[in-house]
Amino acid sequence: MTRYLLRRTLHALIALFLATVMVFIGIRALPGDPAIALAGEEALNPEMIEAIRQRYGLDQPPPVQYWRWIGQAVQGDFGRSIRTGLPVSALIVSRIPITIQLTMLSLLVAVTIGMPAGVISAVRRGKPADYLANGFGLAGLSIPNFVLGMALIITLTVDRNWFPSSGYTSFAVDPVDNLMRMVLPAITLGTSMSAIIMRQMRSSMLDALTADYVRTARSKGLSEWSVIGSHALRNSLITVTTVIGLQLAGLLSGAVITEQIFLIPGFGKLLLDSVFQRDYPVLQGVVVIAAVAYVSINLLVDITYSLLNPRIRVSGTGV
Amino acid sequence: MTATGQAADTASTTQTRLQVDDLSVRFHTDDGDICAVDGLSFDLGAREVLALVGESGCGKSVTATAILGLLPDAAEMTSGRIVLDGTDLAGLSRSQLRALRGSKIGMVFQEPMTSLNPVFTVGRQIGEVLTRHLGHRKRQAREVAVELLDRVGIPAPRQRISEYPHQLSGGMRQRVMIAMAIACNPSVLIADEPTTALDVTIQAGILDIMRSLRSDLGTSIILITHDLGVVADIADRVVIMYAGRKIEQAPVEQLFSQPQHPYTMGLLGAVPRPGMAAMMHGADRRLAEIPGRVPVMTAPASDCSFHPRCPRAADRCRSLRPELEGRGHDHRVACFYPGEEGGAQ
Ligand SMILES: Nc1ncnc2c1ncn2[C@@H]1O[C@H](COP(=O)(O)OP(=O)(O)OP(=O)(O)O)[C@@H](O)[C@H]1O
Ligand code: SF4
Ligand SMILES: [Mg+2]
Repeated sequence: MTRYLLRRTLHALIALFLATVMVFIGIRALPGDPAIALAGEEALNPEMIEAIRQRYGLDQPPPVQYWRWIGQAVQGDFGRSIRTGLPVSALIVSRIPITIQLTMLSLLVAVTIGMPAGVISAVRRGKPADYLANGFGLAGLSIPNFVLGMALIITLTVDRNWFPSSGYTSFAVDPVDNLMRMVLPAITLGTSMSAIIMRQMRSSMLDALTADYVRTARSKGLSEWSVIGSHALRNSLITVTTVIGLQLAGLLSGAVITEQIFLIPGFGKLLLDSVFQRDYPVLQGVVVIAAVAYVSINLLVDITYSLLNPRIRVSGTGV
Repeated sequence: MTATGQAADTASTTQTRLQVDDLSVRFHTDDGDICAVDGLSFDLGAREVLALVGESGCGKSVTATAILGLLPDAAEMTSGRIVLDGTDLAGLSRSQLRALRGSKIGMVFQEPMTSLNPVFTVGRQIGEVLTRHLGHRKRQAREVAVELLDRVGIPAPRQRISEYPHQLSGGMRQRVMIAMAIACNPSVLIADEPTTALDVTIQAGILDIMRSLRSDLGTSIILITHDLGVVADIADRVVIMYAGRKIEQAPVEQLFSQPQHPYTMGLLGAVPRPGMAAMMHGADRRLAEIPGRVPVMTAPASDCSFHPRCPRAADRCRSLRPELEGRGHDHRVACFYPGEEGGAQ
């Protein structure tokens, strides 16, 4: 197990290194000279641009630039925003909790709807409950996030005033208002994932329910509760957690759009704003942190997966 | 005890423990129906070991799963009664049935590699039966599970108990299955090829366990096997199946010494001729190969399903179905030309 963990962590670090290299190259490949953007519109004379190049080290060969940038980044220094002059790290730190809250609430929505719906539709296969769940699954998958978000805003905040319309209140300031404002974004972001979880749960459960070991469990006279809820479910969870893990990263990208729709000042909004404002230091920092998040989520998922699956946990080898 | 025509089949045993009466099972598949079992009846007496023998695909496992009421969704029991100790299982509620499974009826499934749950330890899977039916506490169940593993011949049981199925060999998994099935001292044990993956010594040990279950606790056993050595070793009576039907049934010595059905003779690996008794003592003897294949029945047979492979097949065999008829004491056979000389031709 320890060896397995070490190996997975090493893989994660390598992935992260590659990600930072790609961010570095990618941002330099964007149209437009970063030095000009850094200088702002008024500074168009060559000397000034040259001065900026030197100040930001842009005159150095790229590997040196990368090394300097990464050296500062690991110390938490991503430079300052061009627009606001604030340290990028401080900006990111202030936005991350908001996005984490949104993602976690969405995950909660997705899991609490998706898992039971999947189990029920597998157990009641071919019955009305199954059709209902499948219909929901199809709808959840085919409605784009932004459409669902807009629909929720229009029907539940504009027409009916059940929820506060877009905007954000910090949890520390007013927890109730914060949660009320988070409900709709969380549903918006969580629905498609709940549909994915539900479909995965259903198909894994159907497999499990016809498996020989479930027949064995029944031959032992165990209650349906323990046959389904323990023998079959436990096996299905292995694939379902993998899918959740893969989708978690997807939630992050969904958060970008959802935050935009509901005007939530999270990480995703920071990312989009930095793109529109060509705020390179912010963009660069945000993308790196997103990569870190992505890689560590996948690592966590791997670990959970191996905890659930004794074939990996015990032998220390992948299947 | 219920008195039906079938009771006559088991004149030798005083008490009928399990009675299977006119069992028919159909599979509904995309390519149409398959009659896996057709009008099968047999009795299992107290302390009796009944061997169910036949080539692959003749319906042995389907019969076993039907007795437990665990047929897959695609299967339908189109007729039949399963009577356990005088109680028709069809009349029981689901929870009453569950109370029987694992306690009064133990089942060893044929597939040792897939029949254990990969995510639970062996100890938990055995312990579950004990907590469910005997109300054991966790720790106590674990102790008993260790004893059971020891009993089925698994070395270092205390260590094995916390291992997962993938850490065990096929033979060990099979023994874990057996341990689970006998955990509550069932009065009926159905064992589907319980010794296939085992070497001869272990196999002998398992047969010893079955013998002692029978003598100490009066357990009745349905043993499904391809191994005539095992049949000779432990069975009291033998039911021979072909294409979902019972085609011969006899006490074991009788069957080996005077097989009546050409199929049985073929299985015993002999041309229809005297001297069969010698077969009985060939250790580890598998079923002999008979040229041709078991047909897949899409409808109940209207002829003798064995006729394409039968050296004695006559016109009658192709148009009429032979029914079971008595040939001596507790010996029944479904063939128009049975016995050494082909009956009264
Ligand atoms: N799940 C299934 N779907 C469709 N047909 C099935 C299914 N299971 C069994 N059958 C049919 O039932 C017949 C009897 O199968 P069964 O498993 O009882 O054979 P068996 O006598 O146990 O053979 P073996 O010695 O190989 O275990 C087979 O010929 C097959 O056509
Ligand atoms: S009935 Fe005819 S075909 Fe069938 S086994 Fe007897 S002799 Fe052979
Ligand atoms: Mg079988």
